[in-house]
Amino acid sequence: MSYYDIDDILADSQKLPCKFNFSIPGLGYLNGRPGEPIKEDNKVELPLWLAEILAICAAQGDDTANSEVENKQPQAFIRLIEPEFFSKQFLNFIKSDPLRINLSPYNFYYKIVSKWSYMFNDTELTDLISKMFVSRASEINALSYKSNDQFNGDNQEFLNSLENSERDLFKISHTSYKDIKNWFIEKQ
Amino acid sequence: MTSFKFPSFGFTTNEISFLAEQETITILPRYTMNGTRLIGAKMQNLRAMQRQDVPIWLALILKSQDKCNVVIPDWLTVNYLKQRYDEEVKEPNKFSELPWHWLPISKILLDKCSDDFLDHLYEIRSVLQDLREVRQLKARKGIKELNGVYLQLDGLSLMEINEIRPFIIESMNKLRLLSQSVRTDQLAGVGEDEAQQSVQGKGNAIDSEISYDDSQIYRTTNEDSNSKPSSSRFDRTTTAGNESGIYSSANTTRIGATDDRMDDADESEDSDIEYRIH
Repeated sequence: MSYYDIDDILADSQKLPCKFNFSIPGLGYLNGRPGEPIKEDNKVELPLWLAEILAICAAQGDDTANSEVENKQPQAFIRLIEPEFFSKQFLNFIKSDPLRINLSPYNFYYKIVSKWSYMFNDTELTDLISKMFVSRASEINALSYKSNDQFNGDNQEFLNSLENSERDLFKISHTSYKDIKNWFIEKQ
Repeated sequence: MTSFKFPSFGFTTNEISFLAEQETITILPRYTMNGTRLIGAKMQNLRAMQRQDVPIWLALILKSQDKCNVVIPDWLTVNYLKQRYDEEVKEPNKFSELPWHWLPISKILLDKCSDDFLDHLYEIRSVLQDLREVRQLKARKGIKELNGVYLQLDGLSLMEINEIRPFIIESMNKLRLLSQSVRTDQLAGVGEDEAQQSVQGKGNAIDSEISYDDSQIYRTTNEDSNSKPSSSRFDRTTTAGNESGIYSSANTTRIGATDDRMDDADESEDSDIEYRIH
């Protein structure tokens, strides 16, 4: 979460689906229609950093009569829609077999999880994802040790399903094991 | 994609080998020699056939010049190692006690002083290999119980720690970040009143159209009614100064990658080193 962490910045620019609560003139370019207003309930994909701010900042109603309701409960500019990778179905899939789930399409999945659960204070989600990570990590570690087995059948499939930080983990672990193996063989 | 710097996570194998050569070993000099001052060590006067403790690197130099025989340490015998191996098998949750540098020292001695061993070399090699494999299996089994806060591996040697260190540090760091993302948020409730006040003041000052005070995020799910509105990110700045006890406990989960290696080197005398990640 450091300020200069390039991964953190990239994770912040991942898109999340959201819906606008208001019609806002001139924002149509977000939707691919420049010049036109963005309408209420239009679905757009916004980068995480923007979505977070817009979902937090409440728009204060103007002084017209119909804004009285809004004054009581100020509404944010947008609502976040639960993305596919946080849906019940997806999480159930994780619960049933963490090793089978394919995380490679979702870059920075773990970072997004921690940002998401930061926004919604979702302890359940982080617990589940932590559990998933531990079981995936031990598999990663086992595979990075056995260098011969990596490329057959199921293992290959698992390695292809890794998220990019998991792939880094695999590389780090593999380099370390390889170094020691080489050191054992080498004669001084 | 990410730049990962492997050596920064720990030692390289050659560095550990180098550290291991600082350990002392007993030699039997073949000739009588005058002592001399060396960088980092002092060589005592050597008397022929009288045992003397010297650093391993010095012993290796003398050995290569055929000026001494090396006395193989007690733990590097088939008997002793077999006992340790039996212990390892008997107690699946404990590492048996072996010297802090047992791997590099045994390798160096097997490579350079093979004629000084009393046991058969192949026997020693095979029992060392067995020991290493059984310990490695245990260390890797422990990864299944990884968490973001604490890990204790008693009795593991420096080389073995170093082997799994990069992996463990990375994954514990990940777990810590995951668990912290919610915990800090709950803590924000501690100083909520102050936070609300100051935030409200800020909101008025900056812009009349935007106010942060009712910072709720709406989520379109069926659990909407249950989910409590979470405090905004802005609360954090105000609570950070407020030193509550819980906050500092969150700080202790920091992993000291660089600090650890100093500890490791210092405690090299002990055989049961605890490898703790604070």
